[in-house]
Amino acid sequence: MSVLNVTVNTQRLGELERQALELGQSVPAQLVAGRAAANYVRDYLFDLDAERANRMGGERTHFYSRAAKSLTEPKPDDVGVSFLITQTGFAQRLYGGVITAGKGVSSRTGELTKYLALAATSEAYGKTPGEFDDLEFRPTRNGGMLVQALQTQIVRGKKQKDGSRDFSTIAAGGLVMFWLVPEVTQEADPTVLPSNETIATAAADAEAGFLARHFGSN
Amino acid sequence: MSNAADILLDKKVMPTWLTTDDLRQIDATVRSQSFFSAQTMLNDLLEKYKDRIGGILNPVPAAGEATTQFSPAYVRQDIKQFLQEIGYAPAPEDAGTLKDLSSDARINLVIKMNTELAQGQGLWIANQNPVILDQWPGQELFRAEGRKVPRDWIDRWRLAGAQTGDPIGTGWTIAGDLMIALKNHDIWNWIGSSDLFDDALDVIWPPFAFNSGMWVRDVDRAETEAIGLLDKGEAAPQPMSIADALAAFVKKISAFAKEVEA
Repeated sequence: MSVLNVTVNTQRLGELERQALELGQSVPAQLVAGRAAANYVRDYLFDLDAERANRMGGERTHFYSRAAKSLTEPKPDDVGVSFLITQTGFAQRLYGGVITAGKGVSSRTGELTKYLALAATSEAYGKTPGEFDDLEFRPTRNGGMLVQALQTQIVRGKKQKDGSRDFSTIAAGGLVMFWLVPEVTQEADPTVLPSNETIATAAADAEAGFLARHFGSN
Repeated sequence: MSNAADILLDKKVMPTWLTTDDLRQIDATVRSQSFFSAQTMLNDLLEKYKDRIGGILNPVPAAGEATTQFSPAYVRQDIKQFLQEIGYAPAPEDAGTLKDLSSDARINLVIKMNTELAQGQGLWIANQNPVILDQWPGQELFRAEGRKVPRDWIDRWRLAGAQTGDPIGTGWTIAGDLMIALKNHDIWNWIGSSDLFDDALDVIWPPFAFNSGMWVRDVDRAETEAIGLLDKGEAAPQPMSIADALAAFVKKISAFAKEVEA
């Protein structure tokens, strides 16, 4: 699932919907309910973005802010009004589930992937293995790891009184950048979206306000 | 059309050698209908960007396909690979800078700005509905994403507001530390104008400036009235067509440019 569809069932708003229908205001009322629900979810996601930086401390990708901006304008449908959150990976975070390799094309080999690459350091966060040119594959029991190739660096010593200088070498690199696994099970995280009840309440409040202001009903 | 993916799809690719400054001389209406990147003559590269950013905005994988291809990281990698395949190499002095078409900084900027400009334009268009304008006549400019070195947007807001000729509290205001204005107020013509701010994108929707973390959100009628931007029951802002809005923007900017020259 690449896109999340959020539906606000305005039929459940009962009395409000009846009033709107009687007043011939069903479409505007749905529009208001939909926009209010969308605004509520957008604000929730922007707040989440401020609260949840990535745990590795790498450069932020602002995942939740991007999810908020990806929210489409609500459209009326059979049961009420719906909008989409088109941010890739958002539905996966919400519902969780197993992700298996073999569906995408490897950035390194151009063939179907054998492994999923999970960032192991902050430098790798938000990047793909294909963006590094110094990674070496090391097999592990359940998959593998991509490790920065070891490089020898020359360190210049202090200049001696007789003008000579010592040199020594140190090995740099060797850092594990990505873990490679054939599949991963992601826990569902229902907190990335407000509850259906609170979204519906935001929609109902706005619709009630709209009807009251224009037609004096409560 | 308020769908961000459709807005992007409708844009025509425009290869250009013009710099960011030179591009600002082109009519905002033309720019809003074009897909370009400063000093990028590679039509195929622009087409690839447009296609891949379209995938970010509307990620629809074929049956059984992975969705990772729609993440900005994979789009960035695809662009790098394309540039490598065509033998692109930056001038040595430009390597790694924004002038280097293959640098992370440049590719990230192109992806982020074009994704957000399409989303911002979509939001602006969706707002031009009498019901929405009546229910949410105001709009707040707020920080959606933190930045290491944030710009002083309150200062910009004041400057943009002063440019409208309306005193603070009339159509635009600062309530506490909230920057709020009526939708379609003149301040939105100035907050993203390069006549006032060198890093502005010359648009009337977010993100307004390069790499900005700012966005907009609705302010409902009750709050708009409470802070004095509308009297109780006063008519909401009138809907505008995008053509009229951009024409008004260009007129303002041109008049300002003449004033500065005089």
